Amino acid sequence: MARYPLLLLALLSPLAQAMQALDDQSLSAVSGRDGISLQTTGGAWSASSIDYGQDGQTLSLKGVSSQNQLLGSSSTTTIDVQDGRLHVQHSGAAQMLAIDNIELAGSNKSFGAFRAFYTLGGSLKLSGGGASGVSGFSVDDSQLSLSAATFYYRDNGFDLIVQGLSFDTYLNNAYVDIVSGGSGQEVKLDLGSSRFVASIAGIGLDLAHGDPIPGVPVTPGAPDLRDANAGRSFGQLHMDLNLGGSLSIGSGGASGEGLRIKPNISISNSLFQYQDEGVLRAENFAGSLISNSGITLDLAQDGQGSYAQLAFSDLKFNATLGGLIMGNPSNQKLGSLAVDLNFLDQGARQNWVKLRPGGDSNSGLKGISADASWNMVDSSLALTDNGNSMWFSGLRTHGSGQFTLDITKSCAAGVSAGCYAGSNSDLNSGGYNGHFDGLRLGLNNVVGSYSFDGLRVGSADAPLQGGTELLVLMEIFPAYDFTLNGQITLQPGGFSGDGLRYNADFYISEANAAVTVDENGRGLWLAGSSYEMHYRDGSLDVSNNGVELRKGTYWSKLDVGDLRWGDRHTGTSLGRLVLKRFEQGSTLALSSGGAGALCVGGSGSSSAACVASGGRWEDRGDEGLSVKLKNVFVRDGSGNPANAVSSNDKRNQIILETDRVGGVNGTGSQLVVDNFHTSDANPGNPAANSYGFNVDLNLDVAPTRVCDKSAAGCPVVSPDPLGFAVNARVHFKEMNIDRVQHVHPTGGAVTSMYGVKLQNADIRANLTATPIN
Amino acid sequence: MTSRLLALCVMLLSLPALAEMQALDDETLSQLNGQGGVYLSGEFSINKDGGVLWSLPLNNDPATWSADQRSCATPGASAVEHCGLRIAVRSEADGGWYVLDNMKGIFSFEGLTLRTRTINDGFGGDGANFNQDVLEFGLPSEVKFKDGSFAFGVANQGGWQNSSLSQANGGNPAYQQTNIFSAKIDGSIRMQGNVLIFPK
Repeated sequence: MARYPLLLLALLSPLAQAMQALDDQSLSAVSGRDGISLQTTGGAWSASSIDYGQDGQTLSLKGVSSQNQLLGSSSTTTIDVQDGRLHVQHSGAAQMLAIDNIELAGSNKSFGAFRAFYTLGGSLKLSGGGASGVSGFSVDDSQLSLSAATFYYRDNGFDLIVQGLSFDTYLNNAYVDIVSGGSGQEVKLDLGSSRFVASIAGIGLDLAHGDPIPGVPVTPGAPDLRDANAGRSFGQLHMDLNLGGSLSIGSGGASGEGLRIKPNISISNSLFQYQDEGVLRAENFAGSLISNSGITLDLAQDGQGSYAQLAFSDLKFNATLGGLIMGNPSNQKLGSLAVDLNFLDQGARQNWVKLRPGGDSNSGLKGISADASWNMVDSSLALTDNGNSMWFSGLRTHGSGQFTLDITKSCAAGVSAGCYAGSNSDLNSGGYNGHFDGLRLGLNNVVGSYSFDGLRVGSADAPLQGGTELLVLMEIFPAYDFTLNGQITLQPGGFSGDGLRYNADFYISEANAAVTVDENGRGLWLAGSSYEMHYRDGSLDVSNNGVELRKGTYWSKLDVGDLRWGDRHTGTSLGRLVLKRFEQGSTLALSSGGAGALCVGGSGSSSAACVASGGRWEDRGDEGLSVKLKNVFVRDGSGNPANAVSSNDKRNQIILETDRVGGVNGTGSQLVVDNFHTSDANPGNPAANSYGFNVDLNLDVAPTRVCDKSAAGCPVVSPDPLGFAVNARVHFKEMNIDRVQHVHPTGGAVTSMYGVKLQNADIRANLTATPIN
Repeated sequence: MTSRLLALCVMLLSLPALAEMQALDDETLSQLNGQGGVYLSGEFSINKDGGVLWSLPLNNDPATWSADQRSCATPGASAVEHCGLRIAVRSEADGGWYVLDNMKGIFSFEGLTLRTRTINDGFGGDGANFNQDVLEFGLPSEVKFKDGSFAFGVANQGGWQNSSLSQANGGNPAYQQTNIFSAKIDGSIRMQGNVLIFPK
């Protein structure tokens, strides 16, 4: 056994380890021939600034300090050589790291402050010889453990808290080499068959400004309980990843100095789980993450100031989420979901994120802004249900815009430090421009588009077919281009337990959405559209029934400038369409399991009864996806003004306008379906309105009966081809329309129907989409 | 939701005024191998197992029903029958209501196709002048109707209420509805060709 000089120890220890003199007692504990044991107490250090400089730009960590959480606690490090390998074992004391400010030089704004409480442990086993067996070294069988970690991110006096985080790394057959990359020497970590296990017990917010005792920061053991929602969480996460492949780090960014990281990582037999009351779980998660040119990290400056840029000219991520469960683990199986995403720079369409200090302009000097640009080409999503697969093929999306991230507070409960009321402080109006409580994502001029080529059923190279039209019921359009502004503010804790609550305002403008579109871009288009949506007190939960989105109070206005046939810009227009909605208590629920067994063309709950009634019994298996949309349309109580069209925002109304003069809205003839609303039709309680207008969808990939229309007599195709099966059910107890009006620009508004009432509806469309034959 | 209402609107508004039935010639039929369209098989049904407002009572005597029960059996029939969809429209401010009641049935088909198509030739020379994109619904060769029915009548209020029950029990003795005629449909019909929908 060889002893190693303390110089080596200093080189191998992290910055956090200050050199300590050994006292006599500690020296006496060093037990001679079996390596070195080092016990460290104290270990506190601080730096007024730690700077990273590159191409004349500087990223500064201001006021950095580290100390043991408990005075007098100690870390133990042992160094030994066993079986020809250097073995460094570290068992750290619980640490507290603080960074007072993260800044980019030249900006008066900052990214915010950061504190971390954690315990670090590890076992490093080093031997000479890298993956190629000559240069480099092996880190096989090494472990790194981060445990009992809590992170605090502070933005303008409010905190985002990540609690109960642990992260364990097990390196197996892993090597570190210096290799020759495309832009010079690179450090390459060959992951071998390594395992990474991470979990987060909770993510919460503390919206009580500052510290309970000014100048005395809170700790995980003595949390700030002033905020009523302090104990609530967005949920729990758990990941168990088995990674292979390699990760290379080289010098040189997208331009000049910088860092370049080249991932070539494979993922196998991994687990991902989000837990609320129910779970979202992928039990067999596999895939790869590859960037040939690398992900670059640069510091740079433009007319708006300094920024940190993360960019990649190519990135390919594919993943198969096998054994997907949504809701109750015992009976909610979705099948498997696969994604194949290809990001690729194409001329001006590039992939980068420019991070700038400071968030929303009304949210103080701290926070995060990001200018983002993305371009994804030839990607796909695939759903496998009972062994049958379907691809949403040819998914393309590109766009750019600015995003801001802040922790914000409204002034609704009274003016307090850090709150922002806005110039329109009526929280329940569409024009409210103050802040809400929570983590605020701001969207500024996000100009983007997406489109699908179509569906492929059975195999990835099956003929393209339509069928995405059947998803329009969920406002998933086969193609969409838009400009998006607005915000969504999230609060921890759902409708019950963990989850999230949200308030949001979205403004979509200059939008073109396809209801149906072919490979040449011709179809039925909602062209020149604007869409304004407002959500108040909504929530999102994962319960044992699946994913439950509650819309809270929701009102919106969709104004389709032209309903066009053919080309989205030049096709013939049917006219203008306006849809206004006002809903309270509407929900959207996603759950696993599709339509199951059902009767097509007849009725009956068993195969025998179905066939006896003239129908065909189809069993679509126990996997698949089910969607339940419930819209509770609320009657506008402001009245129905005679000889006029109501312009109230919170009202359900459909307007079709044709023959406009010069395309100017309001100059044509209008048909107005006014003040429509749902009701429970309960004679004992006429005001009851909770059942709503319901759309239930079951989505499956399943075989169906098809006949060949091109042959005489339309002979049945055998065997039954696979198709995208959508079983839709629309049901409501009562729908009312207060009136139907006709409006002429000179003649004014007249009423043609003084009431329409629909009752007892249960309308079903059970359709399977296959290619046209 | 947006799209649902929109699609419904488009269908309702477009079909009566703008749709034309077209026979496909052989040449056109041979072109039906495009990739952008969709071939739909399945069924469309209204209240095939009853609706969601009224549950089925044990007998056809309205006086024994609860407020949320209703049977739509033919008068004199002994077996109870689920009710269909009911639509009531009032055309005068304080007038009575036209009622389409008990609408139900199952319509099943194979081979309803939907695609976008540009018509710029054919049709005896009219196609070149037309030169426009249309939504083409390729009709299934056979549509089966099963258990289809509806009744047309008038009523003194929009919502149905049981006139045999007191108001305290959820009924309304003043409620009146007079059915003028009713119809039942079973069987199959042949539908060939296409429905082309376009704005004009």
